[in-house]
Amino acid sequence: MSGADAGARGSVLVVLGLGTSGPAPGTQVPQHVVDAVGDLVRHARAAQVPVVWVRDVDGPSGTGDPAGPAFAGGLGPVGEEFTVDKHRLSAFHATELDIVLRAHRADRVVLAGAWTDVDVLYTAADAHQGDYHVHVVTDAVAGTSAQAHRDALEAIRYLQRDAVLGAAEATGRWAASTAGAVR
Amino acid sequence: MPDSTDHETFRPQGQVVLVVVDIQGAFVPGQDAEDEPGLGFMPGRAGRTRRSVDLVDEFRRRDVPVVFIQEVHKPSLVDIGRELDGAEGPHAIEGDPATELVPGLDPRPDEYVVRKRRYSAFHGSALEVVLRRYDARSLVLIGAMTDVCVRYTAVDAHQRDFAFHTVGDLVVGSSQEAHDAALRSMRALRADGVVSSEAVLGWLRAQDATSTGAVLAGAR
Repeated sequence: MSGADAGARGSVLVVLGLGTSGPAPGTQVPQHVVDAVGDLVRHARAAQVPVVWVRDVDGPSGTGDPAGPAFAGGLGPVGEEFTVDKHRLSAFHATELDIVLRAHRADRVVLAGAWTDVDVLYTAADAHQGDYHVHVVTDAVAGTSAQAHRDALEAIRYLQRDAVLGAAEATGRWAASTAGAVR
Repeated sequence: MPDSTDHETFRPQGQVVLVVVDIQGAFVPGQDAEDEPGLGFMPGRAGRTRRSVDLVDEFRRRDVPVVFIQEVHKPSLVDIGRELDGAEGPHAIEGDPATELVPGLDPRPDEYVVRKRRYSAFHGSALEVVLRRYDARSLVLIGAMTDVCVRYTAVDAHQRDFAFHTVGDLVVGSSQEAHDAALRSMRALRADGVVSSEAVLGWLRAQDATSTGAVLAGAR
């Protein structure tokens, strides 16, 4: 895969599992992962890569409530960034995520957040089955255990061999393609 | 993960349906084919396939519904999606004898065969419609591959509020490690998400006792 293929155009960053009322109450996403997601979001915005925020909602009161769950670390949508509410494991299941991605003319989904072996794995599988290229930023995701994290990344590599990226690689590709577009 | 860690009892809720996932391949008589074109499997596939055929017959004998899933792709691969971007080569090509369900499964006229072009048997298929028709609540999953089509079918069942029960000793992974890891992830979704074939057979035999008892009670 060439760097241009994985660049900013056609990519969308999808942030998972940082809603403060997540599916595993009492289990906190590690601060270094929240910080890594924050860095990734800043790089995405600078490269004009759209950011989509996925919230876990539970019960009717959560649905579409603008004052619903907040995001960890002071993160969250700005401007016209979409927030997608999900009730299940995959961010594609019974949500408007596919509509949002099509609105952005996306063919490539970059995933970050929590949890690697649940939300990230099952969202990656649905992205894959929906014919999107998929990437997981390995230092911006957290698993429910070290082994579950490793197993999930291996399962995602089975789907797409180039799926797992470091943050530096992901942001480098975005920056390079943005510079190319400006030139 | 040894099969002994599987749930020893199988206590399904509501209507049970056996979902047979992608047990496909051309078996040459007297020779056990372990692989299919484009796909590699962990060792032991042939034995698990034979015992899966036996389990299908046990379900049929008790009139518990069986649904067959068959992955298919066009020879041009126009419908292959992103399935060549990872570990797999072209596979499940329509018209290839290896794409047929293995001999012995032989779906009956009253049984559904659901064709699919992606990994999850729910993705772009009629499976949910078929399962609702049976009023299914609990799905018993067997077949291949543990870490791909079975796992993603299980999670889609889970998200659709079906209870899934993968038979740990009747599924086959792309490797032993991937198989073990996928069973762990399915157990994480449901405490009884992985069961043994012995437990399922025990439940089936208990159905005999129940229906015999009902018949006797009716006769009295």
